[in-house]
Amino acid sequence: MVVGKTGTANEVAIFVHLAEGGLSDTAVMDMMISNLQQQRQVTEQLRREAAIKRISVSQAVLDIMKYIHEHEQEDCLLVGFSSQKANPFREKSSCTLL
Amino acid sequence: MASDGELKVHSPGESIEALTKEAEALKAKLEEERQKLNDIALSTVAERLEVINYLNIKPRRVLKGHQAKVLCSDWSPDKRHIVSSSQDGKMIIWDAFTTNKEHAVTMPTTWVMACAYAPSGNLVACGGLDNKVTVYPLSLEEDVSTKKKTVGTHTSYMSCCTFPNSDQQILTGSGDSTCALWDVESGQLLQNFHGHAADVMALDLAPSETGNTFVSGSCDRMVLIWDMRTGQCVQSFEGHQSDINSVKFHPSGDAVATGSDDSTCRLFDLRADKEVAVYSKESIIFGVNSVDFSVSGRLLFAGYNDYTVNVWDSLKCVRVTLLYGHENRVSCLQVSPDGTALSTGSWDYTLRVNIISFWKGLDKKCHS
Repeated sequence: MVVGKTGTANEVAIFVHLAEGGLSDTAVMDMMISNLQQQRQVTEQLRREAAIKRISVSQAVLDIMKYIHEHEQEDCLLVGFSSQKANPFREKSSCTLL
Repeated sequence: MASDGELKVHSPGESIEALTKEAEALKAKLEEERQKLNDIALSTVAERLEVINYLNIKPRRVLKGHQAKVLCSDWSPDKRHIVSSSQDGKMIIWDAFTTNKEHAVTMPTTWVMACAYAPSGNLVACGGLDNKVTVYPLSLEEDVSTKKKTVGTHTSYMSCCTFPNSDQQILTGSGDSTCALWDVESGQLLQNFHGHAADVMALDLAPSETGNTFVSGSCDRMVLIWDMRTGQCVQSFEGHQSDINSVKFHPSGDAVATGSDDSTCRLFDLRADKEVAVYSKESIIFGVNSVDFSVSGRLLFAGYNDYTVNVWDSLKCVRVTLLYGHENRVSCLQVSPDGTALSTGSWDYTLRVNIISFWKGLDKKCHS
């Protein structure tokens, strides 16, 4: 990818290099445009992410803990079944009471 | 096209130089902001919580029928059936209660890497090395392959798929490094998601009903959060040192867990906008293929290349227990929709359904 520190000068250098490599002017220009578009996308993405509102890790963690605490009793893999009947994978007894 | 572009090249403030400079400044600012809010470690806050000291999760069913590696599985919304797909080119619908096979469909390809139940439970989607996502309406009357329908095609293998919110749409991830949203009826591409720089391996929907957000994980080691309506990436997380194989939203919707070839699982919080936990041990040196949370989010199950499932306390960041049994890599795992069971699939050709067999995990009872 073309990400030069000296910007315009670098772009020209690349242009010359590519042109010497036998690429047509249009092809070289297309490549430079696509590099620019790529960099534009990267920067725009970072602008969006920089605009995100953040909360502190302590607050985020407290909210996660609160959610877990409120749902722990429904979590059968964590607390087990209230009775054998609540277990859908229990072995069915072989005889039934009529 | 060239003339349009030329104008843009020379418009002020739009040189690569300026954009690169701005990007570097933004990156530094982002890092600074995140660190400013990094006031405490998750495990420190969780210190006061009770230790989960005894968790006896055992296999109760073994599903045998695939003739090669099991690659993917998904629970039906009815909490009873499971769809699985395999390297043998087959997709099987299982009754997990009885272990019976209700349907077995042969795909026109081997390595069926992804399969998913639709929310209605009447439709499944699958695909893999054929680059396609194909849906099969399930009916007991006739052979399900007679009504199959190809919905979408990628330019490389399809690695993962899921139905967001309804039977009408499918979201897919692919080795072509994109995700895509398809209309089931017309097969039309509704939205394309560009942003990863390598194969997309996993995706998961945010748990809210209005769910317009999903997460993807990739071999570029990035976790991306997407807005399904705009097709835009809204957040990105780095941290993993190798391919990400699995991503899963925390049931609260505020965080995502990941599993990677770097042998760690991680937790990224969306609102703090950063990694908040790493689940790893020195003795664990094998890659993670699949992760899922218990319904409260307290337990994080992770399937590894060393044939084991590690169960992590997601808050205290310690391993609670290890599940043995599979005789090859654990390739996929998933908690059932009601949270009663954990299905695991393996390269040993089998799936297992595991449940808890001791009732005193936290010395409390489940009342649901």
